[in-house]
Amino acid sequence: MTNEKTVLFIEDDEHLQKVMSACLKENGYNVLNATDGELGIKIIEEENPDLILLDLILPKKDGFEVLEYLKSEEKFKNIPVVVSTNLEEKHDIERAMSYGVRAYLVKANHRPDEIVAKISEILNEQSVKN
Amino acid sequence: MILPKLLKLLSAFNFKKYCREYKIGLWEYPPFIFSIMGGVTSVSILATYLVSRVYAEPLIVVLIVCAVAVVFLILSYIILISFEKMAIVSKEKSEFINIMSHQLRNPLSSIKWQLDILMNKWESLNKEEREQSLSDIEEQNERMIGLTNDLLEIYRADSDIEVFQESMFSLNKLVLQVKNKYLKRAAFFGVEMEVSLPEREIFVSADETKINHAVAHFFDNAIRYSPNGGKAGVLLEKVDDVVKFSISDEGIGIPKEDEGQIFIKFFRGNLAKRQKSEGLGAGLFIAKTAIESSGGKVGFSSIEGKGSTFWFTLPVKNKKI
Repeated sequence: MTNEKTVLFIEDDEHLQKVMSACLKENGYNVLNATDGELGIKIIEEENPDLILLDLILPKKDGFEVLEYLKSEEKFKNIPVVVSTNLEEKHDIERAMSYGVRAYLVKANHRPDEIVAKISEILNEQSVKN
Repeated sequence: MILPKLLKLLSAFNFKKYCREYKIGLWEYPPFIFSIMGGVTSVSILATYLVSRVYAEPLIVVLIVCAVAVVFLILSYIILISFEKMAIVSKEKSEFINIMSHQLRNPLSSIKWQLDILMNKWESLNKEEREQSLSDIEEQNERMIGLTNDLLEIYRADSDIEVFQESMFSLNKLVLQVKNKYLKRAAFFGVEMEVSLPEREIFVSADETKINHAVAHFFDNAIRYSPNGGKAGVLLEKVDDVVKFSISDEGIGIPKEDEGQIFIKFFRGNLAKRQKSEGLGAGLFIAKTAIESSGGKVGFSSIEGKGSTFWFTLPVKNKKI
């Protein structure tokens, strides 16, 4: 099965990145990886992914800076973003949601297949809309 | 009925007990300051009344009232400062929870995700994949143990709890052990390590575990903040009656404005945070505490953008044969 959809995973923890990338690939997604926000933005510009799975605490440019960049760019502002983080404080959630992220998932509370299911749900909704 | 209530009320005036509990000074504890203010107010009013009755001079009464006002003003200022200090402590606590939530939950999440894959896809994984997953779990578990050990060290340092096991050991051997432990990590970050040790072994009398942790923190920092392809140089030498360990990196360096705070616990400079999101900001604090508790000194020199050299000294002991 291939969805031919590209998911960009911006995550600085190599282990989390490895597991999630394997799960996404298993579900037929094309996966791109970035280990910091700066590289993430570079890949967004070059590859224009269908969805971004984004950690918030990142080196070089953090997740909020990536969200700010996406908001400011007409070409990329409609890319759905799923936040996958371990920050669970109300102000962090509210701040991320104010950028219109589609889901805010706390890594410690979700299994990889639950995150993949959420991604599939959002991408399916997106396909119906288009 | 009344006696227990009275005792409970009186126990509230055991200010020293509460100060020890909250780890603040007597003059930083608002109920104590309020009690003093209450006492001073009562005595002042009584004194003002008595004095004015005796002298009946309006000028003196005015002066006394002014003096009392100044005292109240100073006391109010102290109260404000003490509240501010409590607010800072509360803010630090909140920031600490934020740091911990990320630093401890990331390895925990990683273990959770790996276990989930192992449990649900065991049959479809080959031997190599299973071994790799288990090795990753072990690495994350070690990371968690390291983080919690650091927290314990900080708690002990804050609470003046001394766990000091002095023994005589070779610093040459210890540095080599730590170097070997960090070879894999250095290769992962693409950092070349050069270790230069004296031919004759140098012995010190200190807490070997603590010194091992301190040296490990210096290695870890040098590797983590060096660029890919960079070098980290370690030098161990005898200078007069002390042994000097120094480690230089070609990393991001320390900005001038951060220099005074580098050994403060949970401090991470903006440059460091920009470079690596992982880190408690506790390593240098723990290293400094460990070295100083063994009678040594710690310091550093740094040029922003070029790199840093951290060093420590320990008194040399001659090994009795």
